[in-house]
Amino acid sequence: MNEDSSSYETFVRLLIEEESAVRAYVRRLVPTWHDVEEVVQQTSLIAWKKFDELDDIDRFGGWLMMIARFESLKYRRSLARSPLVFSDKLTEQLADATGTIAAGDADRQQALERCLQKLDQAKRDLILKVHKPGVTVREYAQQNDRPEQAVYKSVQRLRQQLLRCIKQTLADQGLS
Amino acid sequence: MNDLRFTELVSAWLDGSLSETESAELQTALENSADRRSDFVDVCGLDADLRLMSDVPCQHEMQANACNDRPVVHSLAIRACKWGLLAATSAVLLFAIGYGIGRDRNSDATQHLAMSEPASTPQDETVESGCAVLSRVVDAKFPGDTQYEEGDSLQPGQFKLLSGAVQIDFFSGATMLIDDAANVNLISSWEAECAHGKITMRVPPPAIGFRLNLPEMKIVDLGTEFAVEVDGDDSSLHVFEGEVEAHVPGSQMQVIREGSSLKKSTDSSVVAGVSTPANFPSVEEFERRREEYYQQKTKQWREAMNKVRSHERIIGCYQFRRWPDKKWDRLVNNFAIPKRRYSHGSAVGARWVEGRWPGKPALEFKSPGDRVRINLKRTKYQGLTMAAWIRVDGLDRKYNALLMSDGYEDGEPHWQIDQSGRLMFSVSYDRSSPPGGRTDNGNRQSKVFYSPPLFGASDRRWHHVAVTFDARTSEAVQYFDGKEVSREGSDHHHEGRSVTFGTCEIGNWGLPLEGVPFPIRNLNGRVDEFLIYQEPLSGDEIAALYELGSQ
Repeated sequence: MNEDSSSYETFVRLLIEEESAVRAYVRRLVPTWHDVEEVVQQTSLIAWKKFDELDDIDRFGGWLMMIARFESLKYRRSLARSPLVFSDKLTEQLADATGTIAAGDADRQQALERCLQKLDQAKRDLILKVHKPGVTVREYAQQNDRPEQAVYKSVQRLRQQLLRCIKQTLADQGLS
Repeated sequence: MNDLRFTELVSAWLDGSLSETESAELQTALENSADRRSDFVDVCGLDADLRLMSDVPCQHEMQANACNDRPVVHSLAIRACKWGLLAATSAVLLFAIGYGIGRDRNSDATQHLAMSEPASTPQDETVESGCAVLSRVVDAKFPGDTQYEEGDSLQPGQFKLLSGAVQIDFFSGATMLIDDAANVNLISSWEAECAHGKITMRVPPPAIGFRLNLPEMKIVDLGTEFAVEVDGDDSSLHVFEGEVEAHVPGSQMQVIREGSSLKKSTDSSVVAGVSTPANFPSVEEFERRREEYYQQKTKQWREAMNKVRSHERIIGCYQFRRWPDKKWDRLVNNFAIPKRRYSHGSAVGARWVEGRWPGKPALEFKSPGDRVRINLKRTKYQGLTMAAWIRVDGLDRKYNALLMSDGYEDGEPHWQIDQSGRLMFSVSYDRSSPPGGRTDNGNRQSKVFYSPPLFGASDRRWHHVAVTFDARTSEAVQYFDGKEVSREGSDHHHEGRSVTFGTCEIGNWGLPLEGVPFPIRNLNGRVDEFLIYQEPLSGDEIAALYELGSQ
């Protein structure tokens, strides 16, 4: 195996490891999940092109976030004006914000999985279904013949409930 | 704005249904409050996690293939698809690394053994016959198969260096620095001959009277620092500090003082001159080069380990890197990618010491309490590989632990060294009464795989040891310094068996089952690398790991 393919393989492994963190980061900077996918893809490409400039792969995570930040801000400018696109100032502020959950991806996702298990089947189905790619709460409500506002409220409550549960789970493990 | 309203607006933003007015309201709230931004970030993180979790893995044909070939790691499979071409290529790559390397089954164990013997300190030589210690080695090359390590005792006799530099501390207290190619004969702790090369000697008061013989000159030290150079027929002596006696055949003994030199060739007379310290290795220069050399070595090793830690099948990559921050002093990180935070090791008792080379940390296991606890969970695998760099300082116990699963329950491994220096590996299996099969004590059944004796009682050298086990065939192969030393199947073999780790310890056997008397099996020695894979690696791969760590 030559040098190139080996470094490519290392890169892919690192990228896989950081991918959910980078998505979570980009999520707050661009309006829709589709935009997140676009930015993350662009970020991955740029990161691969510049990978040999990275001296210390232990710093891959932070380095990738810097690229993601830059790409998000660049991508925003290409978007048409919309209520979903925040001001430049706010986007910068959000890029610097840290959130209250400090735990790593794996711990956070594990906590989320546990919290989802605690929900009853119907609620779990609802929250997962409205987060499928391309699905919006409105569409989901229409397709399932349910009042839109009621679905909105349920989803909101479930989000809050899950966040509280995740924070509690992480705190119990001494991780947050 | 109250929390409920804020939550509503954030939800509307996430769902893409935020109106112009609502947007202004939300933006103002966010711009004015760091707490709100923090909450917003949390909700966005949750949204991303939920979307990753709800994502449908495969949609296109090519990507579907990539997915089907991947192990059933849910999120990994999703992502592999998302990346399309990138992921497809990587899947092929990962596949090639995991399985593409053929197994080497042609190794000759007897040959390896014969080769491995000279590497150990010969048991028929006692320490009393030594006259010096090799205290520093910098990028040194020795002729033939000879390999010296820092700390090795040197016996009287020829000592040849091809390149690099070494420091020899004589038992008398005299110190010799040799730079580049040299041929020295060590006679005793008080005497040496230099047939070729450049040498600096530092002789402290306890060693006054140390003699160094050159082809054309005998030197008796009177407490000093001096250097000699022997090149063909030319011998020269340079005194940097104190004084020495120089005995040149055919002329009177001379005392050469600080700052002076003396040169003698076979066919010419003695020439006195000024000493030139810059031409010879100095202790300071030597230290600087040594430090530089080992820093470089550490760097190369780290780079090499970056590939190792990304191996598709690695689950434990304990590199024994010590963090300058004392807070993490007891943490033995698992560097395997992807990271498994739960699997970081915790050092109990064991002290941080020097590893294979200066600057490479190791943990030293001495007392019965010393251990590194790790948890690799009870995932089942079809095989395993364990590979470690260890230094055995003594075989104190009947069994000396390398890696021991706590409970030694169904499918869990034990890897140790017995008192006669043999590697011994076993996997515990619940007895399933095979017709005619033997059973061991209790309800467990485990075949112990032994290597021939490899470790002497006071070996104290770094060695690479490895074992691979294939649960599908029950064949275990053990390796010593990259070479196969045992290969054996088990007549207890059953279909459908697997291996697992759970909680384990490196260097000890801990947390006993309640009520079961627990023998002490702590290792007396050092460990500075421990790799664990979820499949049996090939002989070539083990040899590569050895090469990577021994250069």
